Amino acid sequence: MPIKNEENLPLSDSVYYIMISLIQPLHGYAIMQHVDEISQHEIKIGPATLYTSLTKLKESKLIVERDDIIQSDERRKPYMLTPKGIQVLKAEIERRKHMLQQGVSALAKIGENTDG
Amino acid sequence: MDNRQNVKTRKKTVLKLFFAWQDQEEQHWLEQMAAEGWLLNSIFFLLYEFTYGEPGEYIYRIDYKLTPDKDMYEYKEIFAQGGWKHVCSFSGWQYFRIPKEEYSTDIYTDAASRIEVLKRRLALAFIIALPSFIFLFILRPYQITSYGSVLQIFLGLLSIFMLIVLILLGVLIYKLYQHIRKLEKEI
Repeated sequence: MPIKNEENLPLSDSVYYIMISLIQPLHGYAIMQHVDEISQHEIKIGPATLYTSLTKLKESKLIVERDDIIQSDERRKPYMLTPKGIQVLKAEIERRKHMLQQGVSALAKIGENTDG
Repeated sequence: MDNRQNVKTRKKTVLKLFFAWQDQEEQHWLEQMAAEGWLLNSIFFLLYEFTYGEPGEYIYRIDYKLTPDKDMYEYKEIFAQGGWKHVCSFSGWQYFRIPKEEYSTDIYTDAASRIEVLKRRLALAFIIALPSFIFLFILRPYQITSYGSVLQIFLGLLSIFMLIVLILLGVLIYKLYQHIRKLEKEI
């Protein structure tokens, strides 16, 4: 079921990957590396896109700076999802799951499966 | 164009005008200067200072930083880790450079984040245009006959200045709006 009344949805692919990276505390550059890794190099996030996305997520209170976590370089700020961020991420995953299921069942009707 | 060249320190300052909607042209010009060995050092209004080095292939990108500069360290570091050298900044504009062989991804990699920045620049342009607009079209029509001649000349000059500002901001707003529309079609 599509979630209509959520202001932050849908998330772009980049923001989706940034948010799932932030279930753990990570600073700017580590987010870029993590996204590159888990997307199998499919999603590249440029520095301006990362900075803009983090600014917007902070303003929407979906992520928060974790000043309490000690970093080797204290000027590096790790970010993490907020409870609100987790709710939005859940809603987005539901949305993407629904899209995925529609695709799989559409192909199943003509006897095709998506395993290749 | 006005060139002042100092041979000893191998520096030169170039006067050049780019409007706020000409960032592509400005980047291209800086890349051409680098190909001739002139690397950008600093910017002050329309004055670009270059240092002479080895001619090389570089890519320049100009970003507009939306937020107050208290997180400047973090902002620069995100770029630095991707290989982008922060060259200088001028009134919110940030100049970055990377050698062409190290370039892998552009500073913006999705339309959504570009649109976000363009929309905020659009809002800023409206805010800056507002005082000129109020002066020219709401206050000014009532003032023409009610002051002495010296003040009238002053107000006249001020009106011309504000009209120019307003026209330039009008062009900027139109260009930003067009760019946003174009990017929104790509999503």
